[in-house]
Amino acid sequence: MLKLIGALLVIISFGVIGMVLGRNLTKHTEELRQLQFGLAALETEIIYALTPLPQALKTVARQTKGPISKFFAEVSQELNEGQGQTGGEAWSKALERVAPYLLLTEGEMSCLEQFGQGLGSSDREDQLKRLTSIKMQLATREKEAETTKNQFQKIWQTLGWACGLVLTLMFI
Amino acid sequence: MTNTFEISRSGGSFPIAQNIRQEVLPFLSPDLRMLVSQIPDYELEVLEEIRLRINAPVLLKQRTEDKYLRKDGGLSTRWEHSVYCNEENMQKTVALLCNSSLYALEEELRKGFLTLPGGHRTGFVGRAVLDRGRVRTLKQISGVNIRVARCVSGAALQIIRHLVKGGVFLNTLIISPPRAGKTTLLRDIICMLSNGFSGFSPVDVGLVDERSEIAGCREGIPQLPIGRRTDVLDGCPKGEGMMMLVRSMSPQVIATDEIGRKEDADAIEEVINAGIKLLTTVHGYNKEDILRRPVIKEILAQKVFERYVVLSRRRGPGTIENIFNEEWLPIRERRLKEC
Repeated sequence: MLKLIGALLVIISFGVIGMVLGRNLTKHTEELRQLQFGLAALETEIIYALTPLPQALKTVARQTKGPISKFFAEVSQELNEGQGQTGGEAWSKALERVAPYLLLTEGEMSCLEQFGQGLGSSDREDQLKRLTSIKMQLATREKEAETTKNQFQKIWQTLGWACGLVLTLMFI
Repeated sequence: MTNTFEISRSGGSFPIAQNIRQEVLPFLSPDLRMLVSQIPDYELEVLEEIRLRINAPVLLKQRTEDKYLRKDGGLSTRWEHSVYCNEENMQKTVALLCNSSLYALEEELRKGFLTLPGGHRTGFVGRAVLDRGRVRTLKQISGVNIRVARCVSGAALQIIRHLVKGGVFLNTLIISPPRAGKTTLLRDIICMLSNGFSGFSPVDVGLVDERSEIAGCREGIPQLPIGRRTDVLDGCPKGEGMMMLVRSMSPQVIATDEIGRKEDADAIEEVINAGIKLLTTVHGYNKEDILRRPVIKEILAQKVFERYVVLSRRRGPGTIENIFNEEWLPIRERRLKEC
């Protein structure tokens, strides 16, 4: 009886791990999508409404979801509270703080970091160029993430259950 | 002997130093802020400008002296001991001044200045971005000049009675060289007319503040005291603004500063014809000096002004040299001789 419970536990936990890993791929894609959406909203605020950065980021935070929303809210807060910080510094600090909750890859993080350095420190035209460039990069990354998701999501999930089963059989 | 107007605005021993600490220092980059905050109150009290230029000494212009910021937070008259403003200092200061939103300040940068809360005016220089031959904005800011707003209430106190006759304000022209307290005096006269004083009931004043210098408007709201009955047309060209005020707000007095363009002369004629009193200023040292300028000569020939107030920096900003009547006869001559 005890063996049976143990075996079930092993199978279930491996299965869950597989599912979480699979779902992370979906979440990663979703984060990239939210980021692009947020940056598009930021573009509207900066380029067309000429809203000052702290307020613009606050508006963007309201329009996005999950950890991405938290990230934009953090930058806005950092800018409002931090004494003597440029937009780029506030962006980096917030990114560092939110990083553990994000599923973005190292490459994507460095893209964001790089973009943040010029945030708010140039004229409208230059800001638009930067926003367009980062949005294009993120769109490419999203496509890649989507392909990875389609390829690996099922594999992870199946692999989880299979590993659990194999391990149980080995122990039995 | 002449008088100067320098009476503190809100009591306390160093009110302007306190204002600088609260309203100006937060906009300096952290390193510079730390140094400037160590300057004693009595030195800050007489501070007029903070000038930053990339790779140049940090200059603090006081009422009578120009001083450089030392590395230990003191002031020195010699630039050799000065701390230099590097690129990072400048970038951070600009980021703080524009709230990390340089893109939102295109209009302000096109004009070359920004008004901080408290009415402190900040000028910028950098590389101009052109659009069809006209300046669209500035980028790569390389120099910043923060001018401390000195709102000296009481500046007009000693001369206002010469500018009023039978309870009616007389058309007045203030003649003054740069940095002699022209705008301060103008603002205080506006304030007194707008609030009223003994022997003079308050009137509606229309103010055309082309350079946002008099009312120090930030986002349309005046930051400096200009009286309870003053309507401000902020950032509007003087000539056009005066006409707009005549048509729309029916003021009893129209105030503006630094007249000198052809359109101004036409607008002044319009204002006078509408029975509105005029208060304005002109750059210059004396009558002969301003008469060299054709437009001013034309305006003066019409005998529009009933009072001329001449300022100088002889005994510091705000030295009132004399007040003349419409015939250019000194009103205060006797009093001045007595002094």
